[in-house]
Amino acid sequence: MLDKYKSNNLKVPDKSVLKKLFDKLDINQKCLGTGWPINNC
Amino acid sequence: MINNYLEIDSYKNNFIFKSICSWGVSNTLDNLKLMPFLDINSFEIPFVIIFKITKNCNLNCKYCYSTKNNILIKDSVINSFCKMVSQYNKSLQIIFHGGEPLLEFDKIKSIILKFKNKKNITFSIQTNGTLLNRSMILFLKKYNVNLSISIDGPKIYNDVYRIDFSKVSNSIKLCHSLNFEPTVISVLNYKSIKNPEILFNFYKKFKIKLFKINLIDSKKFSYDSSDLFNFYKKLFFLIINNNLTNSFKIYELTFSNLLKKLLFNIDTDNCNKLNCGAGTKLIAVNVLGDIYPCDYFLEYNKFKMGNINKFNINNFSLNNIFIINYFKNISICNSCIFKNFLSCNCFAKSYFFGKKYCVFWKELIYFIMLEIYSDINKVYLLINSD
Repeated sequence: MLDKYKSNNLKVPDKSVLKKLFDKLDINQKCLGTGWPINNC
Repeated sequence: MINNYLEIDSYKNNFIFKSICSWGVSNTLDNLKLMPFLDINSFEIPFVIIFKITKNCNLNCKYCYSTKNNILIKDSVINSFCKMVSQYNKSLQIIFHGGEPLLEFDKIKSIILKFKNKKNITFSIQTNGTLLNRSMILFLKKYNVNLSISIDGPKIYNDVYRIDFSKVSNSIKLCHSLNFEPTVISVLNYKSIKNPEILFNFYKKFKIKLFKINLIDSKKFSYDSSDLFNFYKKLFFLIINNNLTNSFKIYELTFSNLLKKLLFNIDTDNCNKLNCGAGTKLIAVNVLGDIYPCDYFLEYNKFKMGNINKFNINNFSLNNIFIINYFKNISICNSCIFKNFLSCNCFAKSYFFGKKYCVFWKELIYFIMLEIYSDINKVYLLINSD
């Protein structure tokens, strides 16, 4: 089952793709920090 | 098996390593920075204080790692706590914990009211939910206090190690009837680990938008790594499928925090950040006002950092050589590609409970990244972006 993890052919997303992803997610400062679940995060 | 693979394979050919380095900020794992487009100043992890406001509890859960006593917190400790908090002007999260913190709700109220205008502070309560009433909920709602309820799933799972399912589930219903959304922490047990579907249906039924799965902190109980991995794998797809097809979206904190870290290198969590935040970005305070690096160290005098009477929250350092050395000496971490990236093993849990689940964590990380890289849009289904 773990053989698939050995593959190095997986395409790593381009930085611009990740930036778009990040902008769309709107990760909120208030959701960082504790490891405790926080309302609306 | 993963461990063997990592040891025989050059980690520089490893796709996780490639992806991390694709950020273009480092070609080694020793010098990772945030992705270039992120403003580091806008992602300051808050300082966290876990305030064990009581050691008393109305329940007696079989797996509880906390010891009980009836020592009541003195007003002088509350006053000193408030004085310490008022001296801190950066982002701060205060978590009321116990014992059962709602036994001291009047004192919690007085602290929240004292700081109601301080925008840098957020408050959370971790409760067993059995003492929750209408006026408490309305107060928490008014002052935007996070409420996290401990419940291990439906009655058949919850009652393995806890009691009072009906009281707690009624409290969740009461919250919703007052338009207040609690979150949930569920501890995984030997029954629920086999049936993530039933557990997930519980969150759907009780309209829990955000939950976190925790593992039991006890020397007496351990999990099989493959059982753990299979549980999280199934849970991953349950969340994806639900959030793809249903209007009521549900998120689990382990997945969302891991993804924020793996994709953007944002430390979302003081526990998972490299070397964790214990004693540096996080402290625990007990009913006597004594300060420890985190709540697992409470009652162990050799870890005591001081007392709130004399503690300068703006200028302190963790002078606990034991903790620093303990990190350096976890041999299992020496050949791990994640060692300079995130802390899979909580060292307090390793030390006190002998728990190391890194085989599971590595497999989970590989699985998640493989799934996400095969379809990056899955991220939207795993991190709340409302």
